[in-house]
Amino acid sequence: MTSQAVKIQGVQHYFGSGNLRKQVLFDNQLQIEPGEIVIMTGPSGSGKTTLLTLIGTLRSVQEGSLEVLGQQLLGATDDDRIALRRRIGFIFQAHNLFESLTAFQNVKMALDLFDFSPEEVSSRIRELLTRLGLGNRIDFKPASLSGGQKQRVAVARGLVHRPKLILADEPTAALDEKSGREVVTMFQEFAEQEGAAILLVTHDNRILDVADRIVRMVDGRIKSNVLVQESRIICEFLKDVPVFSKLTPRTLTDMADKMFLEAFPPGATVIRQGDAGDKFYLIREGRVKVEVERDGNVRQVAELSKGSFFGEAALINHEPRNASVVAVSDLQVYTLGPEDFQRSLDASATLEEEVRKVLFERQ
Amino acid sequence: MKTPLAISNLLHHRMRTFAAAAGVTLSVVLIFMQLGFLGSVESTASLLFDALEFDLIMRSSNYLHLSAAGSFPQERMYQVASASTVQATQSLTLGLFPWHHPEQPRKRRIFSIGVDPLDSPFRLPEMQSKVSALVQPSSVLIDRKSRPEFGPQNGQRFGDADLGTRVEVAGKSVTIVGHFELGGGFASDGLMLLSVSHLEELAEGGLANQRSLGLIRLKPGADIVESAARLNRDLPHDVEVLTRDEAVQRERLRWTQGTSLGIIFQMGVAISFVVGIAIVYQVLSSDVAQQLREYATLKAMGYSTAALSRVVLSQAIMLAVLGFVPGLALAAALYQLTARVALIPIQMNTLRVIFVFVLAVSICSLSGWAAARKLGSADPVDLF
Ligand SMILES: Nc1ncnc2c1ncn2[C@@H]1O[C@H](COP(=O)(O)OP(=O)(O)O)[C@@H](O)[C@H]1O
Ligand SMILES: [Mg+2]
Repeated sequence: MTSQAVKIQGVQHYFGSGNLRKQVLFDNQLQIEPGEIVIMTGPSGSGKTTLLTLIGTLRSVQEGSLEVLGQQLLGATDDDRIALRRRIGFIFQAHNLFESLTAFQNVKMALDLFDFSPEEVSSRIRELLTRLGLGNRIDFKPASLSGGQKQRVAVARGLVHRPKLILADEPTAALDEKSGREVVTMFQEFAEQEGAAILLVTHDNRILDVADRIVRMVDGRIKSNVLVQESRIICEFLKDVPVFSKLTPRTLTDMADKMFLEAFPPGATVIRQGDAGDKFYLIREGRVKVEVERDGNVRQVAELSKGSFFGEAALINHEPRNASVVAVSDLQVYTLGPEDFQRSLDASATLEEEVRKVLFERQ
Repeated sequence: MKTPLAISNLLHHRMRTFAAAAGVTLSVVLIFMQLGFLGSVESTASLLFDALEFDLIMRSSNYLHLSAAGSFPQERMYQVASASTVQATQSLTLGLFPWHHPEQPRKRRIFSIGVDPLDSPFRLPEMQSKVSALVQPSSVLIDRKSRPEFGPQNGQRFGDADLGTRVEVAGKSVTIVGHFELGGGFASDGLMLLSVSHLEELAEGGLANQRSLGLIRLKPGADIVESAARLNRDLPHDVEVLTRDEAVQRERLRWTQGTSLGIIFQMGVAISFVVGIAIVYQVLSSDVAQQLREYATLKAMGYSTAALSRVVLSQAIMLAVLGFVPGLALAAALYQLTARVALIPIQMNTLRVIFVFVLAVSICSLSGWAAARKLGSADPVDLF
C-alpha cells in the first residue's frame, strides 16, 4: 500500500506489433497525492490520453509499475480492474448520457453499483445536481437539456459515488466560461472535502489556476512537473536574478513552469567536461566550483553561488561541456531542457542578449 | 430499486419496440397456426377411434390408415370371439365411394363406414341412437361436418332439410335418412354411415365377407396388453390386434410422420422461429449499436459486460411478453375462423400456449444474446 493516489514508475507503452510497433510513452514517472489537482497539458498526440486511460484501468499496463489507489495495475486481473473502476470517477469530453433516462436516472446508474439506501441515493443526486445548477432539470431527459447542462449531468455522474480519483479529459471543452468555472470549483471542493486526487487533461487556460501541479507531456515524456506553488517561488527567484530581471512576467512564468528542481550533495559532479550539454542550470541555494582540465592539469576557473547560472555555453554553441561543475556545499539547482531554454531565448530578446553577454565575458 | 434501463429503453425508442414486438407477434401467430394444423391432423386421426367402443382393435396387416385400411376375412371375428378373455366383438367395413349429389356438378369421394344397424359400435349417444335407422334399405346417415361440396340444402351444412334427399353413390341411388357429427378431418372431406350389407352392395361384392376393423371388448378384469399379445400369437398373420392407445398412436404417427404433413408443419414452425430471431435481432442489435458509447461509459464506471448483457437480455424478454400476448389473442381468433371455414378441429390448449410462450422467450433470448455480443466491442478506451 502506498499513500499516493497514483504512483507511476517507469511506465512505457507501445501501440501495434511487429514492424508497426510504436512506442508512445517513454519511462514516465508521476505521483499524485490525495487531494491534489494535477493538470496535464501538452501537444496533441503526445500521449496524454494514453497515460490517462492506463491510470483509469481502461488499458492494460505493458511495462513499468502503475499503482492506483493502492492497486498495482501491472498484471491486474479483469476483476481487480472492474473493482477499481468503481472507485474512480470518469468525466469524458462527450456526455454519453442515455437518451432514455432522466438526468436523475443517468446519475443514479453510478450509484446502482453500490448498496446505498434509496433516501441516500435520492438526496445525494438531488443535492449534486442542484449544486451544478440543474435543480429544476432533475427529471428531464437529455433531449430537453442544453449541451452544457448535459455535460454537467455527466460531471455529476462522475462524482456522485465520491470517487477517490477523478480522471477527466477536456471536461470543460463543451462548457461556457461560467459553467466551466462551476465545474472546476466543484472539483476543488471535491479535492478538499473528499481528499480526491484529480487528474485533468486540458488545454483550457481559463482553468489552469485550480491546479496544484502542472504536468507537461511532450512526445510521450513528462517534460516538466511543477508544483504551481513551486513555480511561483521560481518566478520570484528569477525576478531577483539580474539576467532575468528585465523579462516580462509571461516569459518568467513560462520558464518557471518548465523548470525542474534538482539537488546535489557536496562533492557531487553536476557537469562533467566533455559530456554533451543537455541542461541549463540556475543555482537556487549553495555553491559550485567550475574546473577546466587541460593537458592533465585541473584548474579552478570560478566559483558560483545563488542566482548564478551555468551550462549555457554548450547549449548555445552546440559543443560538449567546456568545464566541469562540482558542488561545494549542499546544492539546489533549477534546470531547463535544451528546447525550453532555446524557446525562452527566442521568446525574449533581452534574455538572449543578457545570456550572450555573460557567456562572452566568461570566454 | 435499480434504474430500470431496459424498460426505459423500450419506452423511449417506441418505434423500435413496436417493430420488434410486431416481429415476435408475427412469428408467434405463424407458430400457433402451424402447431394448430399439426394438432388437428393428430386429433382428426383419432376421431373415429374416439367415437368407437372397444378395448382392443383388430385390423388387416396391410392396414395403412383409416382411408386405406385393407380388409380381413370375417372368419377372424369368429376366431376372436371364441378367445377366453373376450366378452363381445363388433366389426366395421370401410370404403371410399364416388358421391354424386343431383344438384352438384362434380363427383366427390365419400368415406363410408359400414356398421351393423342393430348393434351400434359407437360411444356417442347421438350416433348410437341414429344407427338403427339404417335398417331401411338404401339408407345412409351423413356427417354434418362433410364439406359443403357434398351438397347440403343450405349450401353449408347437412341438416334436417336434407332428410329424404336422394343421392347417387357408386352409381346407385341412396336416401339420406339422418345426420350426425364426427368429422373426417384430413383423410376425407365427407363421411357417411350405412349398414354393412348396404356397403357390400355398393362395393358390388368386392368386400363380401370382408371386414376392415374388428372391435373387441374384453371381460371385466381381463388384462388388455396380455390379451392383445395372446390374440396376436394365436391369430394368423393377416391380422394384428392393437390396444386403443397403440391404435391411436400409430394413426397419429402415420399422419404426422408417414406423410409430409408433419414435416411441413414442423418446418413451418422452424422457419417462423428463425424469422422471429432475424427480426428481433435486427432491432435489438441496432438498439445496442446506437447506445454503444453509453454502454462503454457504464463499463468505465465499473459495470461488467455480463451486467450489461443482462440489460439487453431483459429488454429481449420483455419484448417476448409484449409480442406474445397479442400473438396469442390473434391466433385464438384465427383458430376460430379456420375451424369455421375449413371445418377442421383446431383449438387452443394450455400445453401449446406454454410451449409457444417458451418458443417466444427463446426467440428473444437468442436474439438478445446475439445482440449483447456487440457489447464486447463497447470499449471505454474509445471514449477519450
Ligand atoms: N489505439 C491506438 N493505436 C495506435 N496508436 C495510437 C492509438 N491511440 C493513440 N495512438 C498514438 O499514440 C500517440 C499518443 O496518443 P494520445 O495518447 O491520444 O495523445 P494525446 O491525448 O496527448 O493527444 C499518438 O501518436 C497516437 O497516434
Ligand atoms: Mg487526447
